[in-house]
Formats: sequence, structure tokens, C-alpha cells
Amino acid sequence: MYQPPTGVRDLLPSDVLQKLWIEERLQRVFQQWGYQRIITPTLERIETLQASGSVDLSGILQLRDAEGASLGLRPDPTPSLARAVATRLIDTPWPVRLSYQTNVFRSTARPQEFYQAGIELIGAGGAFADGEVLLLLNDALQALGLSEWTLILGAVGFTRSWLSAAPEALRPRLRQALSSLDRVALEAETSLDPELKRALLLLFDLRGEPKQVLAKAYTLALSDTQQQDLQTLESLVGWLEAQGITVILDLSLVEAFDYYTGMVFEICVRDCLLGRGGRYDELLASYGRPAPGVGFSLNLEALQQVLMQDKQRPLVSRPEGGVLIVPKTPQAWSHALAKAAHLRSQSPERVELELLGRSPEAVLVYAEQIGIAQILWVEEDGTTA
Amino acid sequence: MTITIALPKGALLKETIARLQALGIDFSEFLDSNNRLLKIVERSGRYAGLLVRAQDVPVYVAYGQAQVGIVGYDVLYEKNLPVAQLADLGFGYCRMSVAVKKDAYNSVQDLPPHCRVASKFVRCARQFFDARVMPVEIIPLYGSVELAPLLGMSEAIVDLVSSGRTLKDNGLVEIEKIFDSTARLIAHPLSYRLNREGLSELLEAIHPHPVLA
Repeated sequence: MYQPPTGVRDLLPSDVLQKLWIEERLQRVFQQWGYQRIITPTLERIETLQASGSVDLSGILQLRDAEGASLGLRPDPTPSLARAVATRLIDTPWPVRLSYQTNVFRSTARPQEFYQAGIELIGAGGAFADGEVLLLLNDALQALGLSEWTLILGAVGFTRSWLSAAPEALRPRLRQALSSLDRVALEAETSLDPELKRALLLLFDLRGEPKQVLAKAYTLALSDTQQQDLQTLESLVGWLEAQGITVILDLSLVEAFDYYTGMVFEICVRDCLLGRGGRYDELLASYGRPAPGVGFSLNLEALQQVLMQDKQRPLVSRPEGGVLIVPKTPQAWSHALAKAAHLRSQSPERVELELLGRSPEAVLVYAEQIGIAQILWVEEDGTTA
Repeated sequence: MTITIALPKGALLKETIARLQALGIDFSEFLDSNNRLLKIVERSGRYAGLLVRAQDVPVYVAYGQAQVGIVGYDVLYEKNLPVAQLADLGFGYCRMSVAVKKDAYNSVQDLPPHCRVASKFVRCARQFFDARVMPVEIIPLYGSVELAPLLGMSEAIVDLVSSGRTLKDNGLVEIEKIFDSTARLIAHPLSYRLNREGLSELLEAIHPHPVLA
């Protein structure tokens, strides 16, 4: 049989309804905060996608154009947006507020396609901009009816500053150990300065209730920048907790490959990861226009799953109501068309025409199947019943 | 809510159950030869145990069906799934080695290029020979791997060795150790970060870390 490859799927009309339900609510919030929607191409040149030098090439689904140039299907909307802002939106004053709803592709063991919605705030650095993005995120999740969510908040800049104290050759391995939560690998690192190793293990274990985590982190020997990073985190945590958001501070939160430079976060409901985001103050410079940036993306499939678990039913049921118009004979056809046109001009409800010449009994069954309760029979002379 | 622990069938099961029992978490029913249960909820209702094949332990943990698992490093390396590797539990020692027919080759460098290597641990074997820039053909086998060189199907095998008796009895010798393996304590990464239901207390109890700060 003809089936889509594993990792991609059809969204049938009922799936699309659920997806739109989520997208419309998110879009409304994004717009209220002044974020304008942008659509960037699905395909980018490989050079564009890896301009920041922080993208895992093996995760990109690649193809070639007629001239043999390497192209990639976007694995993440942010690099494309950064490119567009750096090269096309030159005249827009800072900050640029953009939102997107789009599909992304990954090349894992099997290629994957999924949908993301998110925002980017470009051209504003610092804790206020971080705060805006996190509070907007809270509004967006509230609009979906998700009140019980948890934010895992980290500070890549802070975490990385510890890694940079290690010999350069060791850094990728140490970062990998932190990002994949491999404590055994960290412990087994024999060539590391014992003091630094102790600090890294402490970082590895530093997560949980923000006040306790910060108190412990302040006991480390900190540089001025590291002090500042912790102060930024402290103010963010204060704003978030004032909104009733549960925050887990996680100072080991770092990815093996990413372009984040400041705060980073993951958005969870129960044990499900809904999305992630963070600050990227170096990404825009790789496209020729240095500017700070911060944003997040939500995975629509994960959102839908969590919302449906909460509600124990689909978010939207199939459309009910409307009118089915049945011409009784072929001669009644023009009257039926006119009637349908009239009804459509009167109300936004759907008006369908019976096209297959079904018997009256079959029409009743069909109307039931498509969820239409009202049937209008049209006679040859144009009268209806 | 309950914390679910994935336990490996086979060599590591007895010690795994003994370690949990020492914490008052009793899954000893799994050791009963008459037991057919695959899931046991322990008396307090706080913990559930899943009895699964060792290779499947990281799968259940990566997919969040179990928050905690105990499994050999060999399996973790081979499966390469996103799980948090939190402690070396020190038991169940064995090593991943390259072995050949006695007197056939003295070292891995002596193996002819494009030779065949039989193994149940396809990823281990592939990564090892790739790192040496040695082109080899890997033949996946799922048991009695020692037969392959004896019959001449492969020049070498990559397999787990504990006492070395099976190798010796079949006229094979180890020529190089790839890595040592012991039992590891693993956890679902997101559950570990979120630390719901006192997960970190359980992990800490299974393997206490020295106080750092």
C-alpha cells in the first residue's frame, strides 16, 4: 500500500481542526503583544542554516538543486528568521517582534516533520526582554487553558563560562556530558583539574527550587559576569513566580549544539516537553547584522496531546449544523443552486448540495453521516420543503 | 504517583533486586522461577518494577515509561538513547572485546582490511573500527557469536567477555579490550530535571553521591 514514510503524516480534516484551534489562540496572543507573523522559505542553503557554526549538520534533511548546490529543509525556524531580519528588515526599528507557525524537518534515524509556533524578539538585550518573552509564553499557554506548566530555566552563558575554564580539547566532551546528563562521564574525566571537576559536578547537580539553587551557586567563586548572570536569573525568577509560574532552576541546562548565549528554558507539562527557547546574542552577527535576540518555539503535536489528555476529548468536534440541499430531479438543479447561493449570502454556515442523485432514504443516511440536521428538498418548480 | 523502575532480565537482575531490597523496595518476586508477572507494584504503592530484556531497559526509560532503570554500560552504548546516566553502580563487571581464533592474529592491526566481524553489538563494533579507520564488514548475529570465526564466516568477533571461559572453550582469544562495562543507574532526562515524586531521593538512595559543597 502507499503510505507516507515513517516520521511524516497526513493531517486529516479533523486533525486540522485541532491544529487550527491551537494556532488561532496562539496567534491572537502573539498579535496582542505586537508580534507580526512572518513566513520564511522551507528550503534554505546549507550555508545559511549552519552560518552560526552551532548547528548539527547530521540533523538536517538535505537535498540538491539542479546546479548541485546543497539545500536543507529548515530544522528550526530561528536561523531563517535571523537571516531575514539581518538582510531584509533593515529599515524596521529595533526591536523587531516576529511570530511564526510553521513545519520543521529533522533528519533523525528516520526523517521527521512536525509543526512549531513561536516568537522571536530581536534587537533587545537584557532581563526585560527575557522577561517579556517568558510572560508572553505564559499568556500563550493560558490562552490554551494550560495553567499547570513548569519552566525549567537555565543560563547557558553561566554554564559555558565554567566549561571554558577547561582545556579546549576537553570542552566538547564536557558539554556533551552536561547536555546528555551523563554524570558518569563527568566523574570519569581524569585529566581535569580537581577543583574544576568539583565545580562541574556541582553544576550538574544544581537544579530545583530557585532560591536554594541560587544560594548554592553564590557559594562558588564567581567572576563579575557570572555574578551578573545569576542576578539576571534572580530577577526573571521573581517575575515568573509573581505570575504563579512554577520554575525549576537548572544550571546544567545546555545543549550539545545550539546558538544560545544567555538564559535558556524548556517548557513542560507533566513529563511532556512542549517547547524550548532562549537568548541568542551572537546568531544575528553570523548573518552580517549583530543584534541580540531571544525567543521560544512550541511543538504543536505535543501541545495537542497534552490538551487532549486534559480535556479527555478532541479540542474541537467535527462541524455540525448547516443545510443539505437536495434537488429532487435534474430539472430542479438550477433552483437548488440559486437557493444555495441565497443561503450562503445569509449566513456563514455551510450549505452543501447533494450531487449523486441519492434516494430520499439514502439522503437521510448521508445527512447523518456528514452531521447535517437540516435538509431542504427542492422541487422542479423551485418550491422547497 | 508511582515511580516506575525498569529492571534488566539476566545477569544483573539478582544484584539489582538486592540493592533495591536494601532500600525497602521489594521486587524479589521477579526472582521466583514460577513468576510470570512482568510488572509488580511494590507494597507501599510508591514504586513499580518492570521486568524487561536488558536491551529494552534504556528504551522504556527514554520513552518515559520508566523513570529509572538499571542496565549495563554495554547496552547503553549499543542502544545510544537519550537517558541520563547518573551513576556507575560497580557491579556486573564485564568487558567489550575483540576476539579471534587462537593464533590467527596477534592484534587488531593485523586483521586484514575489509574482513568480516561478527557481533551482537553492531554499533560498538562499527564505532570501534571506524575510529581505527579500518574498513570492515559487520555481520549482525544474536547468539553463539563464537561460532562465526570457528566456521570461517568472520575473522573476528566483538562481544562481551566476563570470565573468558566461553571464548577459551571455543578456541578463541581476546586481542583487544574496547571498554569495561558495569551496571549503570539511568533516568528519564526530563523526569530527572523535574524531580517529581521525590525521584532524586530515590536515585540518591540507590547510589549516594559524595557531598560536594
